Formats: sequence, structure tokens, C-alpha cells
Amino acid sequence: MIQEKRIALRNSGLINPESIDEYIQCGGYQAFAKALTMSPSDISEIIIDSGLRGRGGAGFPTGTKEKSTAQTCIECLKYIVCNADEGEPGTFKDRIIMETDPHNLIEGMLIAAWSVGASVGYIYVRGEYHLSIERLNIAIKQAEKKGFIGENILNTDFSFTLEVKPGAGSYLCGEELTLIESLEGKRGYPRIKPPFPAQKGLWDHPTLINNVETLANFAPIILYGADWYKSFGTSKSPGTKIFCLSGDVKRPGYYEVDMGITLIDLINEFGGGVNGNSIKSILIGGAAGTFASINHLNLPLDFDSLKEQGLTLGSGAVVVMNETRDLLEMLTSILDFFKHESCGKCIPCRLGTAQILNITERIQEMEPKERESTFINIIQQAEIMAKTSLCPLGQSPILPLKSLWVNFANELINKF
Amino acid sequence: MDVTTILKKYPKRRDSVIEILHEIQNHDPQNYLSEESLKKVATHINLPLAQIYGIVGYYSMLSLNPRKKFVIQVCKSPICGMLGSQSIYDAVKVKISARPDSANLFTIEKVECLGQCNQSPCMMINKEIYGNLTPQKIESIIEEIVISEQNAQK
Repeated sequence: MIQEKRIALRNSGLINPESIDEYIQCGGYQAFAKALTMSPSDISEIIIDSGLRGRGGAGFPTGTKEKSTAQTCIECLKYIVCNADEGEPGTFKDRIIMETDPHNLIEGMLIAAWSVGASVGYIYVRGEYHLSIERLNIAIKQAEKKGFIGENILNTDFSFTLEVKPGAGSYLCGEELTLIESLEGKRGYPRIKPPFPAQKGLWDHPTLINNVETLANFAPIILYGADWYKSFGTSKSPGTKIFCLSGDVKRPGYYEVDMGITLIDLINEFGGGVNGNSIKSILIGGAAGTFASINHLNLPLDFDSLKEQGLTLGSGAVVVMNETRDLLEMLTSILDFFKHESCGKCIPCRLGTAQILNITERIQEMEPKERESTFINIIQQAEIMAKTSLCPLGQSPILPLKSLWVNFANELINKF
Repeated sequence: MDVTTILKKYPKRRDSVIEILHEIQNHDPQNYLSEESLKKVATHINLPLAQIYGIVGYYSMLSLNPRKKFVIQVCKSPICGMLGSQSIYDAVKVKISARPDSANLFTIEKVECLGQCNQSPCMMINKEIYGNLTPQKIESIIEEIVISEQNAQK
């Protein structure tokens, strides 16, 4: 029997999320107080040493991002932004953190802000997450009252303000530079990278931007150290990960476990097994994710093991599909999603997402031979899109398309 | 709350625009952003009206069309779709047309992932989330709203 290991979710469900006193009773804000006694560069060294990688999907080393933001300039205005625009289908872990333990996120942001020298912070929450927005606003007010946010925090020269900003229904704003555009009050169009946010972010100032789950790990790492954190997970993907299980499983939900848990253990031990007779496919990482087959059930779920197999961990969404599911229908639904969310800035993505969807919708009626050539054709188109689009949206449709073709070609050609 | 009162709460800065638009829309009896409101927003943050339209047009939660008091948003994401969101959408339509007296209460929309995939299929009515839906549940959810609205009018 595998146990959950809750680090980011350590207080979830155990304390009243609207009470700062309960959070403090559980050791809350101790890590922040400890961080203030350390030098900012020591903190980013600990985060680097812990091996923490961004939990939003890209898996970039968090500490490296911090160090680079801190070093861009010394005595200048810097921002810290929490990316809480969780829009990836199948993903809801950030919502759980914000709804059940908002102070944990705030404490993580305070530590990160101190380590990079940021004095202003924003939490950009997707507009549909009404309860998250409400609870974060309550938590910020409480933290201000207790003196964790404001001027000369805990009698130091560190000052910090924090504000919640709602999104308004754009998936693309989950991409960091697009999110920054939206925070500035503009249409969510991606910017050209580089410069990265660490150099030129919000209003062209150096900006540290991290996902909710990433920041939720900061306080425990500072309290217990990098070695403690590395005792979880795998050597290349240390720590825990919150997986969001959905689809055909008996117990859909969120489970925080060691990185590197196998797909089958996650589904059976935590999800209670497949709902139906057998597993046909597992979509890992959401819409911008990949279709795995039953041959992958013993694969460890971490950034690198999946990448070696042409799969992606992404945000940690795991969608199980049983033997009755029509994979072509699932693919069509995903491609429809991308078409809807494409912002239209880059022509290959604006036209390509629509074109790929149109063709896919017609595959069902085709003869097997035509199906094969059609799939190869749309994969080529998606590859061109990926190479010619600015942001991850245009680069995403290739992921489900290619993995579905690689793992299920036979079914796609011959069934129906 | 009227638009002028809402605008007074916010600094005259462009980065407040999304919050301002949300709040105006939420307080509008028809759940939308009228040209008149948008003109006031444009003046408040000193942006051309065209740019305000550009922002509203981009974000799917903001509406330029009047809607009813209750906006029912059925999630059509791949996961909810797989677990039957179309039958939920159909059930909502059937239920509403079966109660012609409630036609003025509801607007139905299909939306992308609501982030509630642990309780698919799901929908949101204004700010309230409803999960693990079945056509039977739709029946009682809508009925409850209709009855409470009728009682409120008595």
C-alpha cells in the first residue's frame, strides 16, 4: 500500500483555510521568519540544491530562475507573480491549494520575494476560480494584519505588497509572458522570448513568475532543508507531485505522491482502478499532453522518464480512458479546444488549429488507406505550426496528435 | 451598484481594467457589458473605446450580449465531454423549454474546462459550481432555482 506524501498539501483539509491562526499553529510563517534571517542568495542556493522544478508543466529548475531574476539588477523594482491561471483541461491542483491552504501559497511567495528582492507581488488567478479568489483575498488581509505583508516586515527592512488579479477566461494567459500582458490590462497576446520575465517582465521590470504548486513547496524546503526534500521523488525530479486523476477511474481526485510513482500504481492504489473493464489509453498532461497506452503503465511519472518515451508530464493531469472510449473523438475535442483558445497572433496557429480540426473531423468517414496518409499529413502540419508559433499553444497540438498516432495507429486506421 | 460607483473604487490605471469589467458585468442585471458602461470605463482609465472593446472581445468571460439572470455554463472540455457533458447540456435545454415561465431566467453556454475534473461532468451557474451531474440532477437544480425565484417575487 503506497501512502500519499503531502508537502504542498500538508495542511489541506486539516485546517480552516480562512483562519491564519490555524495556519500559524501548524508551523505556518516559521519558514518565512527563518528566511528573513538568511541572506537572499542563500535561499535561492537552497532551492537550487533541492532540485525543485517548476510544477506548471515545463519543469524548469526553480532555483535557477530565482537566481537569474535576483541578479538582473540589484537596486531596482522587481515583481513576483504567481501563475494561478490553471486552465489545462484535467488539472485542478492549484485550485485545491488556494481553496484549502491559501496561506501556504502566500508564505511561499514571501520567501521567493525576499530571495529575489521583489517588493510587489500579484497572484493571477483564473476568473472562474471564484472560491480561490475569495479565500486568497481573505488570507492576504489576515497576513497584512499580522504584519507578514506590508512595510518593514517582522522588523526588517523588507517591505512587500500582494494583490490578487483575476483572469477572464483565457487559457493562453497561463503562458507566462501572455499572463504578464494580461496583468498589464491588455489582450492576452504572447510576447517574443527572449527577453525572459527574469530580465524584462511586468512593465519591463525583472519578474519572477512561478506556478502555485511550485511556490507551495518553498516553506517546507526552507524549514527542513534541501536534503530532506531530495529524499522524496527521483534523483532528476526530486520531491512530490500533485497528480489530478480524472476520467474513467473509480476515485477521481488529487493525490500528492513521490515523483516517479508508476502510472499503474497511481491509477490502482489511489484512483481505485479503472471504471470499466480495462484501460485503453491514458492522457497525461492535459490537452497539451500525450496519449499513453497500456505499454506505459509501469513507467515512472516524472519529467525525464516520460520524455524518453515521447510523453510529457505537463501539469500532472492523468485522464484515464476505458475500452469503450473513442480516441478519435477525444482527439477532436482536444483540437477543438486549441482552436477555441488560439489567440490569433501567429497565423500558423490561428489557421492551423482550425485546419487540423477540420481534417480530423472528416477522418471517421475515410477509408483506412486515406486515414493513414491524412494522419501523416496533419502531423506534418502540426509540426510546422510548432516551429512557427511564438508560444506554447501553437506548439501543443503536435503532442496529443503524434503520441496518439505513435501508440494507436492500428486502432485509428482500422476501427470504426 | 451602478457603473460610476464601481469605477470610483478602482485606480485610473489600465491594469485594473479586467477587474473593473468583471465587477460591472456582475452587477449588471443583464450580466453583460453595455456600450454605455464601456464608454465610462474608457474615460476612467483614459483608453480609446476601441481598445476597451478589444479587451472585452478577447476574454471569453466578458460578454457584449445581454444575458439572463442565471448564466448556466456547461463545461465541454475533453474530460467532461467524455463523461457526458453533451447529455447535461441537452438536459438543461429540455428542462428550460419544459418550463416556459422560466425562459427569462436562464442563458445557457458551453465553456472550456472549469477545473473541476474530479467531479465531471460539471457546470457553473453564475459563481456556483455543480459537479457529478446527471440529467436527473439537472432537473432538480433548475427546478430549485425557478421555485426560489418565484417565491422571491411573491
